[in-house]
Amino acid sequence: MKYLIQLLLFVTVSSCNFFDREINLEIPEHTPRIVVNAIVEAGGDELRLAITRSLGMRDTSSFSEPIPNPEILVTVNGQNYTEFQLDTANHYVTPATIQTGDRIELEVRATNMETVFSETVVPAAPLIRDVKLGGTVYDFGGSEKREISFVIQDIPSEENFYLVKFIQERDDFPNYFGSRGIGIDSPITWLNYVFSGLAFTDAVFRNGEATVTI
Amino acid sequence: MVKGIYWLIFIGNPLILFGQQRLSGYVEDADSGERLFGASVWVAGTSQGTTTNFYGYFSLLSAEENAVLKVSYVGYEPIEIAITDQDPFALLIKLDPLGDLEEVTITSSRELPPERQAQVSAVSIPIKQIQQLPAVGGEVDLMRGLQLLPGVQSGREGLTGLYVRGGGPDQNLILLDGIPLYNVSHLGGIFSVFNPDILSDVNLIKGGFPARYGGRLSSVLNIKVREGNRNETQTQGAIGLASARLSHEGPITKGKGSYLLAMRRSYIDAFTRPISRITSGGETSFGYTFYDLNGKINYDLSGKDKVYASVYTGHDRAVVNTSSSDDIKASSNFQWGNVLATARWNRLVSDRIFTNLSLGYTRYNYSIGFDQEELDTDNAFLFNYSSGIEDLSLRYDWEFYLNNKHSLRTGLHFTEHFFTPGVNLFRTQQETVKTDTVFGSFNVNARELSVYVEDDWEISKRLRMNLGLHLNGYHVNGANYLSPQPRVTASYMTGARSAVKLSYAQMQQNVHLLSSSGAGLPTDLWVPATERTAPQFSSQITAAYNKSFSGGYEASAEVYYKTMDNLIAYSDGVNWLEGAEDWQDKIERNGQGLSRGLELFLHKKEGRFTGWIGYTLAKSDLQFETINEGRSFPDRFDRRHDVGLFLNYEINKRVSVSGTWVYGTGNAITLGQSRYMGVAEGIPNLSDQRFGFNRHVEYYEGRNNFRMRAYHRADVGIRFTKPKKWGERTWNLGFYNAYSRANPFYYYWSNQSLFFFNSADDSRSLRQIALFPIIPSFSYEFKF
Repeated sequence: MKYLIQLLLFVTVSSCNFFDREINLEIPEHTPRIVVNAIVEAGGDELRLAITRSLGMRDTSSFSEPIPNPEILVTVNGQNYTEFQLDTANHYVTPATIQTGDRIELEVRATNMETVFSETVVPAAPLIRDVKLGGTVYDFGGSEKREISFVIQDIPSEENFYLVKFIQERDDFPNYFGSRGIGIDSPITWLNYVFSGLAFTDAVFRNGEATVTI
Repeated sequence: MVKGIYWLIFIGNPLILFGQQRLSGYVEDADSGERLFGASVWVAGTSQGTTTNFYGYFSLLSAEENAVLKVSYVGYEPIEIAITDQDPFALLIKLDPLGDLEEVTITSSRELPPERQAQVSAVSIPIKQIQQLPAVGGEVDLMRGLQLLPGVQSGREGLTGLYVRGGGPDQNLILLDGIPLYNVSHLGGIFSVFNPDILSDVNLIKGGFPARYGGRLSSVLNIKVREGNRNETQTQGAIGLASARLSHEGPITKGKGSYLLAMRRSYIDAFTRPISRITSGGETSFGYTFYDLNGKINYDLSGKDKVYASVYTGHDRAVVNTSSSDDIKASSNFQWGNVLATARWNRLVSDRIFTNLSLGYTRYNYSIGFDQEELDTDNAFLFNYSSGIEDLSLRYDWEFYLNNKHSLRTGLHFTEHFFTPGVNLFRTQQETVKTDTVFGSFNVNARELSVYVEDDWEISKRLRMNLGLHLNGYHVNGANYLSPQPRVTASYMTGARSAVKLSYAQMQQNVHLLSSSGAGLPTDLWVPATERTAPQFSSQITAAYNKSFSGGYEASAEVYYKTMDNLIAYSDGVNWLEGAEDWQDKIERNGQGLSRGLELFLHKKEGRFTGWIGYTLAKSDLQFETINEGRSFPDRFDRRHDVGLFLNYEINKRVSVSGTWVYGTGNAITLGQSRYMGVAEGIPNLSDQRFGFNRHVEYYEGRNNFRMRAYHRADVGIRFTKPKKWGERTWNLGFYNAYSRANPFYYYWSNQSLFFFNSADDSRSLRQIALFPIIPSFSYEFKF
């Protein structure tokens, strides 16, 4: 019996810190890269860029520190914009008129960092033909979900990406629009339960028009 | 010293033709009457010989007048039989089991059976060695023993899945008395479904597959259930920490037939229910249990006809019941199980033609459910997701022992498959409104017909080949897949007990296993090849050198190269449980796998000291066009080096000790190498330090781009056996993970929130979760 108790004590003591512990795994040193976040939409009157850097997994620096004095070149339909000012939100901003169909090219350079390029064409807002509220279903966890159907007119000759969000103005965060406690999930391949919106491509559409139910 | 008895049964005119006589019959255990599979039978002083088939039957031609027949089998005393001209040609040879410490007497005149097998990449493990493995939770486990063999991995810590030469757990044809089992795990894979008390023979083939087998890419695991003692009744069982088992067997008309019944049940729920109730203040109770039931009967209708019937059923069930203070009762359950049944008829058409007709049924299904009831209203809710696969099969096999140059096998195998890949059942009742709906059911019926022919051809005294063709036709939803699968093995004897071998085999698999975790869990989905999703296909080349030594040693060195095509995997981001759409819309197709390696193996099967050691050097990669940007990446369970060691030593007649040690370089995992700010709700105000509901995005250089720490573990066991007046008892004490190595189960980054605040000092470290420290266990076994 004495030996059995000693054995059980040994098992118990040796189990401390057994199940969850820090380990040292060699991860290659990360060379920071330029990260550019920007949103352009038709009707906009400025180009606004958040320019930050990537971090290694163990790097405890701040994500929100903007890269100082980057060289920025944005071309809108061939017209160059290079004079960006850092505003109070630490965004690089310049006035510009943005319209549907504008071709925008972006190039950002910074000292000791690899230059980044990007380009896009400002899409037209999707035409929503109809929206309907449907019935109520329950998920595996027993949570209630409301069915919403909407009909979009897609442009069949090009590849388009869509983002669906439910937006309300939030009393607690002024000037902040976002879903509040509303999650979206979908039977579409990019299944996700998110608060910030459901993204999908027009690969799910057929014949340029489809009903997507979420 | 020659021991043993032989019986001669006259069933017809002896065949003595052109100076040759045919010698045929059965080899069985002298005590129990159990037929022995794989016993060596040869004519003394010659290379003429064979091995008994799955039912213990052999047939060979001898050119020797007054031949002396030698018969040997691991664990039994070899015998010699003098055959005279007047002797009839059908024999019933009984071998006496060796005592526990006995070893076959090695003398200079002892003749070992010649190397007869053209088969490559095959391992037969005596059941006694399986029973000597250290126990986990009081249970010795066959699958855990197989994971110690070269070329075989367990995948995840603690689980009993088999990953053979880079193949997944679905690519193993696991046959229980000739019928496939789809899921062989209990308790999430910690135990297998095989009760060690009922096993008779275990044979694993990893390459060079004979034409009689088909349907899986990576291995054939042939498990034979004992037939039961034909001479006397016997009962045995065990009581352990986690489970108990009991088996009973006996004769049906002594010497003509027998039966075997066995059951095993866990009682983990006896502990978990009260503990969970106490810790939750009575609100929650958690229970888990599993059971296995085996039954088998066999009977000799005549000297030529024997019939068998066997059944198996096993089930796992985990239930969580909750009752809250606001009168809501809820229950979640997760269950899975197998049912298997087979009936067989062996017939000796003549002394050179052996036939077997089998009818088989196998079913695997699992379900996950949740139901809730409000006690003070009529409101109720139920959700259930279930999935399953069911097969009905008919098989007819013929073995022609033509002459000493050719042994032919041919057969026909028909299977009707019923797949239910995923069915959602949903019921609610809210006051007077009821809903009852079923969705997501994409049931598929498929059928396949296989025909094979196989010739075991002795070209010369040194050169032997096994040539075969397995032709499979698969029909599903109007689509037909026809697959001729050549199988070739050549063996050249470099000495009396050594040979070099070369093999090539093509295999097709008409079922896929969609795994959400890669760990072979019960929630993995068995789905059929369809008109949209082609069957899997493999080609494997193997080269080997085998040598047997006196003292019961066998050694082998093998290299293999295997390609796999038409693999499937879940698309990134897919939730296998949610959604009502067809599974075929959630997957990536046309994946390719490449696996190659070197395996070294040394095995000792007899004597006081037994065991084996195996080493594997291997590499296994996958490639999908739409995963990892089309670049090849390591398979999740790709391990560069793998070592498996098993040793057993019998100190005396009552005490034996055993130990295993397994080592493997780390499994591949996907770890982010950097991270950056991503936009979630518009571009954030970077100067506001109070909050930032911004998602950080981890960037991955590639899939499975890192290696976990090496895995190694030792298990030890000690057995104390004592004869009693009523029979025999054994105390079995074991330690799993004897030096308490914290083997990695998975890694995560601490402080790994998707959302971050703009402030710094966000320290992060990589952390490891390990599952099992040292686990002592014991069990009490009895036999009478």
